[in-house]
Amino acid sequence: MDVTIALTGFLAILAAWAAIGYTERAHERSRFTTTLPGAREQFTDA
Amino acid sequence: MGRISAGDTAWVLTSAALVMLMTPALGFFYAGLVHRKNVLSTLMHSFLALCAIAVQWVLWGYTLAFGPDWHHVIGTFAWLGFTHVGLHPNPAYAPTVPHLAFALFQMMFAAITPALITGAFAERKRFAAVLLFTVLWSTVVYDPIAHWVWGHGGWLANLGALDFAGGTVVHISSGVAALICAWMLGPRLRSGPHEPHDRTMMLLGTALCWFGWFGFNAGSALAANGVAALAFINTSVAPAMGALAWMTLGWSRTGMPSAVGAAAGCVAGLVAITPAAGYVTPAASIVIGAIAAIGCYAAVQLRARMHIDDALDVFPVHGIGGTIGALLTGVFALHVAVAHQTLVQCAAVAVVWAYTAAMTYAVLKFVMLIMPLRVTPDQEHLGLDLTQHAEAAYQWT
Repeated sequence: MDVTIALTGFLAILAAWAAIGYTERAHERSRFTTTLPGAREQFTDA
Repeated sequence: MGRISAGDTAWVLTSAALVMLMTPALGFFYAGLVHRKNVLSTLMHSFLALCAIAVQWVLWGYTLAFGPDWHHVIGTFAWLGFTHVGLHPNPAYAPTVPHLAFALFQMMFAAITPALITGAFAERKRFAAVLLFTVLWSTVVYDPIAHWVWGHGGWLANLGALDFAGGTVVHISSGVAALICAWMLGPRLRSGPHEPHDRTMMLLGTALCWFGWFGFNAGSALAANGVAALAFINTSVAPAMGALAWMTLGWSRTGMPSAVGAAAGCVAGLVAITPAAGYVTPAASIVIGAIAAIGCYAAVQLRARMHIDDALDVFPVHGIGGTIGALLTGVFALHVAVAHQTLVQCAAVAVVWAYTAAMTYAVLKFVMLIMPLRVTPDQEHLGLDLTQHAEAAYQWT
């Protein structure tokens, strides 16, 4: 029983990684602009 | 059923902790070598490999690698979720330590192997792709190879292949996989020399890896005995000689003794002595360390001329270093027929190279069906720390 639950949980996480990666393909996110203002200026020429 | 030895058990558990330290240490080694904008992402590749494989190993990795044999190629699912992996020893693997302790020790090997590959695709691979690749690769590449070489009934073990602590299982597999990954991902967009952002971090990571490697090699004796002591001393002198040889070679060619070169030579020596650690004399390990450093140094120069951007030279150091170590194990191992053993070692190396290359290609193709392997060019310019994690390693003002 515990093995089944653990297995299901880990497979769900794997599926979530796949779903996140699949979604990213369609909608490339750019969180850096809100999280760390000025980042683009610092690294674009790096 | 074997009788548990307190000394052996304490040593194996301590060794497991030492090997565990190697994976984050590897992260620091790699992170020191990348650009400042990719430091956190590089560390995360190693740290999350440790986390993902710890769970994978308990759920299905261990049973595939070490479970009851199925036609000499793979373990069955009999030990899924560590079922039947308990407090008593398994005489087939370690007759004096609890089976759980052996499984834990092996877990750390399974975790560091895909982490080694991350150096090849540093600074450009999408994080979700890294995670998915790590679990899939470990399942279809690492686990079967571990069974062939170390599993009870594995066909390379039956053939007589010697691999004391993972020259073929860990280093050739990760090195060859790194080459395939670097080839399929393509080079980084940023041209010119890729200068390490922090050589002190790189050297600290190297030192911690070396420290953990004592558990990796000496712990593979699976007992606190003379073989462990032999592996320990060999793990001290081979990397030392590797560092000296690489640094001197570079010094003679460039005019400067490079810190990065010394660290790379140290790792080359560690990699090469891994399959031989418990089988050869300390003097032989000095020779192995020197040959590995020279061979890996040449491989790095050759790799630099190819259009394959193995960012942190995983293939030249682990793929070539592991191959040199596996072959020299046949030459220097005590109490073996050298010609026959070297032939067996050649066969094992060839099989692991071919299988790893083919299956790594297949795994990457599968991941590509779901998501791109690379980040976008814009994300690559901005760095993976910000675009993949929305965090920065350093506070910029």
